[in-house]
Order: sequence, then structure tokens, then C-alpha cells
Amino acid sequence: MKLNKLLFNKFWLAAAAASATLLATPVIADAAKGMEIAVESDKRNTGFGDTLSEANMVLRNAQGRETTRKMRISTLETADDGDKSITVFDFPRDVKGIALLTWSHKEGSDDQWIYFPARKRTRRIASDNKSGPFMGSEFAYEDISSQEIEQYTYKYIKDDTVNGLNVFVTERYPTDSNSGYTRQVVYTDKAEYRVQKVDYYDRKNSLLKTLNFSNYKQYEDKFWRPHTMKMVNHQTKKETDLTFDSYNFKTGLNEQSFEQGRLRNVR
Amino acid sequence: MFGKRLRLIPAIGLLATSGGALAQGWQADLELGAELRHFNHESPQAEQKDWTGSVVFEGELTRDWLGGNLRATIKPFARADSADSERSHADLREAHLLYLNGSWELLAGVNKVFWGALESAHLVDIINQTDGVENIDGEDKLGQPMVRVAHYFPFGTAEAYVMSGFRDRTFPGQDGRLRTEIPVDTNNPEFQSKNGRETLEYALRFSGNVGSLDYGISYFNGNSRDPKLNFQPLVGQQGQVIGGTLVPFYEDIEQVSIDALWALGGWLLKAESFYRDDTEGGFSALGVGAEYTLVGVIGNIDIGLLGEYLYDGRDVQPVLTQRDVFAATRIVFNDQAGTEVLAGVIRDLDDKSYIGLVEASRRLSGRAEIALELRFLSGFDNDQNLDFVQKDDFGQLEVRWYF
Repeated sequence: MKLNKLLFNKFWLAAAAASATLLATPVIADAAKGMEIAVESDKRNTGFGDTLSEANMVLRNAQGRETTRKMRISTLETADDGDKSITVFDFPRDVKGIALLTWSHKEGSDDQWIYFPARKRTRRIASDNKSGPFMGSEFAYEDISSQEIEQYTYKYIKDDTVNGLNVFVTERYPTDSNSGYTRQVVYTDKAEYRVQKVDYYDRKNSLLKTLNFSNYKQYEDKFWRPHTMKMVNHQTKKETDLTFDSYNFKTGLNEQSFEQGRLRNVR
Repeated sequence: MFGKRLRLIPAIGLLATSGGALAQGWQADLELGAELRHFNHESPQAEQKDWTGSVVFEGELTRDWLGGNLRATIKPFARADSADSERSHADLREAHLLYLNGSWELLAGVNKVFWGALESAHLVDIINQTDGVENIDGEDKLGQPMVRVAHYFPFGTAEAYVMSGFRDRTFPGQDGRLRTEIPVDTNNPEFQSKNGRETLEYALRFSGNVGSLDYGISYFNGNSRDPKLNFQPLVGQQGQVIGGTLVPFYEDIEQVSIDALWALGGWLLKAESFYRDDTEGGFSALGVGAEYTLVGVIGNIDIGLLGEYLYDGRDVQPVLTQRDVFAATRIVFNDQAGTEVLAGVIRDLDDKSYIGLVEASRRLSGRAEIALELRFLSGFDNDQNLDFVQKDDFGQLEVRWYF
């Protein structure tokens, strides 16, 4: 349970709501509603425990030439901090066996290590490099890392329709100055609080990328996971399709599985 | 389906790999490489060649039992070189069994281990012997027989090693380039320890992390991996020196070391140091370094800047690192082909010698990669053993295929 996080957010919401009533400023009300949507979305994913999934990435350049990446991702929900994850690469073959361990944090930079099996070397990396591309794709590290409520401030914009679903349109603003974005426009469906689409605006506040989520499936009667994430870069015309095979939930992973020293045993 | 391809290993916490399955649960991966080297200067000696070619084979066989808590790993290596019979060699890089039980781990067999934080030199990395015929950067290592017990804590890992079956350093032969003028006689090495290669060796290490600091503290007791090269004259009938060889001498040493890497904003700060007790009463070595990455300088291109300073307390030749500085840039293109370039220079502040290097690689496909390497050597005039190598500037092209 992310109890601390929920308590914190409830406090924040109460404070924001109180302020909104007192001052009656729509700006604060919109911020509170934006936060409320993010909190509800997060709450609906709380308690997933851990997951294993297998991912495929197809990178497509402006001329339509495609290359493929394959990887396996394990994720652990932690009690009072960001999620922990390990990504092991399977393809292309020159990076096979390379493993990336991330301890994401609600505040401050994440801890990240890469394990290189050829040299048997585990190397910490400077995690400020969150705006850089992941494996040469149109996904930045920050796009695929664990999304924590504290990483943004929020603002509700309007209601709309996306993929035939009624959605909340909100904006979120990264709190970390190392982010590659000024803002993201997030489309969250009202029925299940699933993110359907995100528009990313670069540091010059120009539309950079759009990410579409589709093929959602529900697990454990509660948790929704998208099986297709399609990122389009409007400036370079490059695209990346990230697709997931079925997810496995509650597989017995624990804190030990994500200890730094054990990264050398990951396969 | 998914469940068949992915086997869960709860104790290790990860999933077994999919492809490359053989019969009986063994997984196999194979790599083949073809390498062409050209030495820029004419051979200093008649038997040396300007062009050399070689092929290299590397494999990995693994198998899991007990739901992944018992694992066998075998990694053979072999190279055939057109010029140097010493560089044509085979090795078992790894051949071991690993057993995991909760927080405990037992490993027995031939293994490879890396300790350290720096890029230009690996001061504290002592478990494995350097495979000196592969390249002059000391990155390639020979497999070391060992028994290792490890205990994992949330904050770090404690390990104890017992080793025997010492591996001699490999040196280029008479026909090879990148060697000392007088070839090293690898057939008759000398050991301080009376048990020679059979000496029982011990090591202890604790490594862990506090916040954004990774650290390791290590102790080693055994044969030095770093031989002294003693000139053994060949004396003629009248007592005059008519030639000779360099004989490797492996001292019996004790060494304590620390290594640390600290991530501070976009910076990585690194340090390694050891104190070694040897036949001459002991000395220490220190290396410090910093790395900064400029993200997205032009488009997606990242530029890393690396600087390192190395100090070695020995004043005995032929140690390349006495007081050295290393400066380099790593350019990562973040393109589909994974293009990367590393260019840098290591300069000895005392004798003004330097080694320049360029390493570039990119993917040809999902199953093939091409790598270019250039090395420039200069200013070794003051070292009679290494004077020779400055004629050994070379360029190397390697294509590697994965099966």
C-alpha cells in the first residue's frame, strides 16, 4: 500500500479544496481537479504487487525502415517510494543480457545501474539523463519509467472524447528540471481512469510527440494494462511501437530480487 | 504461450531467457568475429607482420535446475591469429555452478569478476588475470578457478573467495606486434610462493551503496597478477651476453583496496586505490576520475566527457602508469544502429609517452556489429622495454556475428 502517498495527497487535496473555497479562484480548482484525476488513476493501480512482462519495440524512421528491440521487464511496487524495475534486453543480440535496474524515487533522482555481462560489470549511471532516448527509440527514459504523482503538478483543462471514450483532459508539468518537457497533455478515460493519450511538449513548448495507448486488458479484476503504446514524433516523423505480451501479476518478486548486488545474476 | 517461454525464478527474481533453447534445457548463444589489423609502421623486426587477421569464437551455454536456484554456465573462447602463435589461444572464460539459497550464494568453478570504478585503468580489479594478447587495454581477462561464497544484504554484498590454479598472463610471441623488444618467455615463469600456481589464494570483499554512492572494500592474498619482467641474459662461451629473454616473476602479495563511484547530478565521480605489500616493501596506487554527460547536444546525440588521473607508487619499469592523465569523449548517437564513438588519450606525465585511442561501433543488423579501433603510441623512447611499441600504431576492424 502506498499509504503515505495517499495520506499526503489527501492532505494536499483537502488543502487545495479549502483554498479553492476560500479564494474561489478557478486556477486552484483546476489544479485540485487535475491532481484528483492523477490520484484516482494512481489509486486504481495501487496494490498490483509485482509484474513480469515481455516487450517488443519496433522503431520506424521517417523512410519507414524498421528495427526491432526485445526485452523483459519486471516491476515491483514498493511500500513508500517509487517502483523498482529490471529490464533485461534480448535483442538486438549485441545487447543481449544487458540489464537495467531502476529504483525510482518520488523525490530526487532515481538510482540506476546497468549490468554488462561481457565484462561482468555493474555500473551506476547518472540518472539525470532522463530526457535521453531509450534504446534509440522515440521513448525517452522518463516516458517509460514509473510515473509517480509527485513528479508533476497538475491542471484540469476540459472534458473531451478520445478513442470513442469520454475523457478528462489534464495538463501536467514536470517538477524535475532535467525533464525534456515543459508540459504533457494527458487524456484519461472517465470510466476506468486509464491514460488513453499523451501529448508531449518540448522545452520550447512545441508539440514534440504523441503517445497513444490501446489494447487495454484487465488483470486480477482490477488492474488495466495497455498492450500497445504507439509513440509518434511530430518533429522527426519517426515512430516507435511498444507492444507487450500478456502480463504476469504477483509472481513472487520481492525487495531482494531488486538488490543491486544481485543484478549480476539476472538473466 | 507466455507461460512456456518465461520460466519464473523467484529466488533470483527474474525470468529465464527465451531464445536459443537446446535439448534438455540447455540454452546456447554463439558469437563469431573476424578481425583485421594493420600496423602503420613497417615491422621493426623481420618476423613481424604489418597486416594480421584473426577469427574469434565465443559461446555461452547455460542451464537451470531447482527453479533457477542452481545454474550451470560455460563460456568457451578461442582465437586463431594469422601472425602470432601466442595470440592463437583458447580459454574457458567461465565454467561454473552457481547455487542460490535465500540470501546466500555459492559459486564453484572458473569465473570472471570485475571490481572497480575507473575506465582508463582497473587498479583494484585483481581476481582475474589479464589476457594480454587480446589487446593492450587490459580489458580482456582469463577465467579464474574459485570457490566463492556471497551473502546479500539490502545495503550490500559480502563475499569470500578461495582460489587456486593461477593463470599466467599472456604475452604476444616473437611474431606478434605490441610486445616488448625482447620477447617475454612465458614458458618459464618464476613465482615467489613455493607453491607457484597451486598457491591457495584468498580474497574478501564488501560492496554496497549508500544513497547515490557505490563503494567496495577488498582484501586479496595470493600471487600478483602483475608480473615483474626480469631480464635473463643468454651468456656465450666467452661470458659475453649474446641475447636473453624477459622472465615473468609473480610475487606473493597482500593487497587492500577501495573503489567508489558517486553520482552527483549529471556527474559521476570515481576513485580507486590500493596498498600492496610485495617483495620491495609495498607501495600504493590511486586513481580519481570524473564523467559528465551532455544530453541531446545535437538532436539525440549525447556527449560524455571523461577525465581521470592515475598515480602508481612504483618506480620500477615497465609500469606504464606512473603519473598518467586520461582525457576522453564518448559520443552516443542514440540512433537505430546504436552508433557510439570513444576517443581519448592517456598521457604519462613523467616520460611524456602517450596512447591515443579511437573506438567506434555500430550495428549492421540485429545479429551483426562492426567495430573500428585505432591506437597511436608515442614517446616510449625512455623505456628500453617499450621503446619498441611506438612503431605499433594500429587500426583494427572487426565484424561480429551472433547466432
